[in-house]
Amino acid sequence: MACGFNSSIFAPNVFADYRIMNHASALGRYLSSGLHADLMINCHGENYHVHKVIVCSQSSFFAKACEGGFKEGSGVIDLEHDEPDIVRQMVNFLYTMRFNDEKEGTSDTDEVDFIYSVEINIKLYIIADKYNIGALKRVALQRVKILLAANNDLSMPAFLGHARMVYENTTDAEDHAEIRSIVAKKVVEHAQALIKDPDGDLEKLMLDLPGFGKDVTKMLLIGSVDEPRVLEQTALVYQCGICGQSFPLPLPMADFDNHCVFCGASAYSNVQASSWATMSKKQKKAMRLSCAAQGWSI
Amino acid sequence: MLSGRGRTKIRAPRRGGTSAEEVDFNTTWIELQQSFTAIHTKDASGLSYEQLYRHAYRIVLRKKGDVLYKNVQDFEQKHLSTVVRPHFQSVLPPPLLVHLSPSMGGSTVSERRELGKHFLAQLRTIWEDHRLSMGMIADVLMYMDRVYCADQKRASIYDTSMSQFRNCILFSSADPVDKDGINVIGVLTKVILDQIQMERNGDIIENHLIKGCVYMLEALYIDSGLEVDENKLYNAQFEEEFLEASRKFYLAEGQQMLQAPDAGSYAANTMKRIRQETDRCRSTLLESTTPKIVKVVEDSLIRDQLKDLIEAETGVRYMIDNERLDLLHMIYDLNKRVDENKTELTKAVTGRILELGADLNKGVMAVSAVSSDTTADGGKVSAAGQQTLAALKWVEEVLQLKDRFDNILGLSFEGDLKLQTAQNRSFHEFINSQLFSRSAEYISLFIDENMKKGIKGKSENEIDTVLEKAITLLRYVQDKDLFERYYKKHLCKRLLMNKSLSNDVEKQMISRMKIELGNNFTLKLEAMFRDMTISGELTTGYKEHVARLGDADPRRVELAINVLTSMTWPLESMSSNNDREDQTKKMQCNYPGAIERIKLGFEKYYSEKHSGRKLTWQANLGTADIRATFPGKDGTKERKHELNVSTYAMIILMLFNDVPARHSLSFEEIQARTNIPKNELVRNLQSLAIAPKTRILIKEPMSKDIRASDQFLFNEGFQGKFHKIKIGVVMAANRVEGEAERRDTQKRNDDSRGFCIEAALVRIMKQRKELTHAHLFTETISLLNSQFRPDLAMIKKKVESLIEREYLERIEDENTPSYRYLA
Repeated sequence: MACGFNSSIFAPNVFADYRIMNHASALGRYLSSGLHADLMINCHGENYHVHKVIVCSQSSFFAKACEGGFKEGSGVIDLEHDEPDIVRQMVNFLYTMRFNDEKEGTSDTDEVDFIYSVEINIKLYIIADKYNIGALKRVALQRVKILLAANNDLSMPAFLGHARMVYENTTDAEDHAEIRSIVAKKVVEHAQALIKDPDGDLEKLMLDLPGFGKDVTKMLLIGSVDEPRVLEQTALVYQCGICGQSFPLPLPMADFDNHCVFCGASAYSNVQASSWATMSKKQKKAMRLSCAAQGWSI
Repeated sequence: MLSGRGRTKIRAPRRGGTSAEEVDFNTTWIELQQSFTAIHTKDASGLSYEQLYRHAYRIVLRKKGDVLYKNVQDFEQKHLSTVVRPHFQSVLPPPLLVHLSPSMGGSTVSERRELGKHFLAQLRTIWEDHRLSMGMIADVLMYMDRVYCADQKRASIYDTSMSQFRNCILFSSADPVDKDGINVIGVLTKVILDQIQMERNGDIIENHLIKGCVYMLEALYIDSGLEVDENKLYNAQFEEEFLEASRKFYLAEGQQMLQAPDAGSYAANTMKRIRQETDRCRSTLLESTTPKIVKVVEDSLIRDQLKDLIEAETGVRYMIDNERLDLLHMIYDLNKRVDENKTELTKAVTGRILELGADLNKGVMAVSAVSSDTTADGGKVSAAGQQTLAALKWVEEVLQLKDRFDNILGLSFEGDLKLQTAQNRSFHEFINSQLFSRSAEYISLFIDENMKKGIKGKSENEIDTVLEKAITLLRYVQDKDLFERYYKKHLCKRLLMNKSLSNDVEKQMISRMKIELGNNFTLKLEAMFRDMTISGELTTGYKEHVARLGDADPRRVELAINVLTSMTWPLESMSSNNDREDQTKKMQCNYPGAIERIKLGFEKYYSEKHSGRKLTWQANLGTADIRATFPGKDGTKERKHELNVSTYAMIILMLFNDVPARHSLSFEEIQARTNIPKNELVRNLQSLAIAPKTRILIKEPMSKDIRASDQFLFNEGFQGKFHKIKIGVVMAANRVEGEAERRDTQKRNDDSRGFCIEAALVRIMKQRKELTHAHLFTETISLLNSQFRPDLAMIKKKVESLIEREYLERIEDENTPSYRYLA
């Protein structure tokens, strides 16, 4: 199997914790060697010899496929309807907790790379949602958020393609609201330019996908920019044990979903919570800045 | 597919790989439907999970989740009502329904058992099948559950299908013909109850079949909206009926058992039933039912019957008397189940203790009554001895009784604290019974007996046990002051007469009492020991003092002295009752010259050491060793004997040293020359001249009584078997008091109680200044309770007397009678 990644690591400080890094790379070796594998995933001629304990523990789709009395009980799962690249990234993520959203080789402009990255992350989000892989879904979402926040002059026709992809592959369920709103927000920010586009892609998109039209309209009416989150006096500051970043949360952690806002690690290990209210102005300012840089507004 | 290579023109990325596919809902649904049918017919191994999952995923993405949900629901409804239910009804044996009709007659037990088994097996099978298939279908529809159902707050498809099963199968008529007939769950309940009843009657049934169906009832809720425990079909539909049927059964069984009441077997059966029901809940039903069914058994078999059971002829009394510890344990267990306080059992046990205790009391009282009736003064000694024996026996028997009930408590009543307290209270009650006031004396006697004889040759542990026993009894005694009085008296005799076997054990006893009753109690007892030690030192000191004087007279009399502090030692009670008047006169007898010299010598020595102390000689308490020589006569050799006699006897005998041989002295002469109190003299002469083995003197005329006109002379022909001869029963061993003595002790005790009460009253009033009558009395009683239970009349009297002496006054204008302290 040829899918070993040697290039960049997503969010370098994700693996600040040596033990996790070690664990992930050890597992990665088993993916490449296929040793002890007890399940095969096929996707357009690419075969992944994987381990049920790895994939089933992270995805209820694989868990049910293996356990029920279906054809897949024989130990082969065909994913012929998914893109091979994306499936490869997904499998890799299940073993190593990382994926690569940077374009390989050289490209002509940064923009091409950028569009490529956004697309990869959206697709990973969609496949993670389909097969119920929580960590991947969360990380991909964060990544989309960060990418879109960081770049203001992306090519709008390309981005409309992204928007279509998102709206076609999600529902208006609460679960998908966040990614939809990120995309809609970006569209609203550039609404003037898009409307004037002679190709009229925006209009077509709104016609095709009523959900998209609704979101964009609503956002235009109510105000395009999110109000900064008002943090209550009770807010606590958490530090992620994986990436080391600190961030305030308005609610006690138990009431919030347990993901780091920076790296998306599924739990704040080694959390050291301190009270937001007791922080100095300077500290608060510094934290606001670092959060804003990651697309997280406080 | 991702193509960024080559041209710079940026195209919109294509949609996902399948975007071209238009989901045709109808075709997809037909495919899903076929697959579901295959799953229901257990033919799913050829289906691709990925494909089905993808179909459902697509449908949900196309916002058709609601249609899909509804379609699945309809599909399952149809499947259950057109496939499963008819099949189930067809395999149901028609006779079953007939047998389950109210008459229940006409079929044998084994027929019913087989039919029931068949029914249970069928029902369990369709339930298991449904559960399994729906599990798989729900897996396929997982994305719908996760995205559509979660978002719309709808029950998961699995839960919905469970409700459908409940409605379509369990709540439908079991009879295909009669639509309104008994429904399946009704039949199920009846069948399970029927099977359980068979098991209760000793049949063997297939518990796992029932358990399978019970699991079904547990998994389903009567109301799909409210998934709480009470809403489980098991709790809502089955359990109550089960408990009701059980209640009926056990009430009937209880009635039947009580026809010929045998408490033991009734208890055993009840225990067995409780065990069986507990086991049944574990193996056949649910553990959560255990406390409920146990309560049913308890209510039907124990609660109302227990009293009769305990009081039955074969009840607790019988069990106690026959040492049926196993049965008692069962009764205990039963009682505990229905009554935290075990009231009935406590009542029976304490009642029995009081009865047995009263018997013991009556026994010992009878002995004393008989002996004091039948004996004139002649047989007095043996009568008193008999009473003493009876007293010791009483103590032993009380201890045995205590052991017995301790044993019952430990082995049958699991050391239950409440019962222990109740038992102790009963012992306390009969030992301090109004009708029986001698326990303090008897217990002291018991200790006395053990100190003198009982502990001889016993190991340390055994002695420990004896001491512990004594303390145990002592705990029960209310009148601690009375006990102290007796103990002092008995101890005094032991010490002075050297009767105690071991000083160590005596001291151990004292220290135990100290722990049990406090410092105050043992203060005087310890002082007695101290006096003995000091006296020993004094004796040696005096001996050295004499030796230093250089008066080495071989014929010198040796003196061993005990100086007793008069406040500490109960000297007044040491002498026998008759000579009390004489005692008060402090009559001093005349000592022979040699003795008088020594006496004066010691007094001088003592007053040098301790000035200002007055020594009073207690001749009635001392003893003397004298060497007597009996001249040889008529071929007999001269014999020498060492005589151990009382001080008085020594004085009498030494009188004869100065009398020529074969001369006699009259009683009056002896009395005049010795100045010994008359009754003491009589008694000493009795032992010297009348007691057959120690007839050192000859009395004329020979008779049993001593008269003033009697003549006494030295018995030269006295023959003794031993070199050393002990003479004199002047100081009798400790024994039960006679009537007069007892009255005396009582009076003395009352006097000292009077002082205690007065002291307590003053102490309380001094602190409180003013107090109501009732409060003063309760406080006084609680203050004195550790020593004795004060008599109300006595307190009243003492209050009066304090008012008279102007320590207290009545407060005139108070509603409740109150007192004020006058400083």
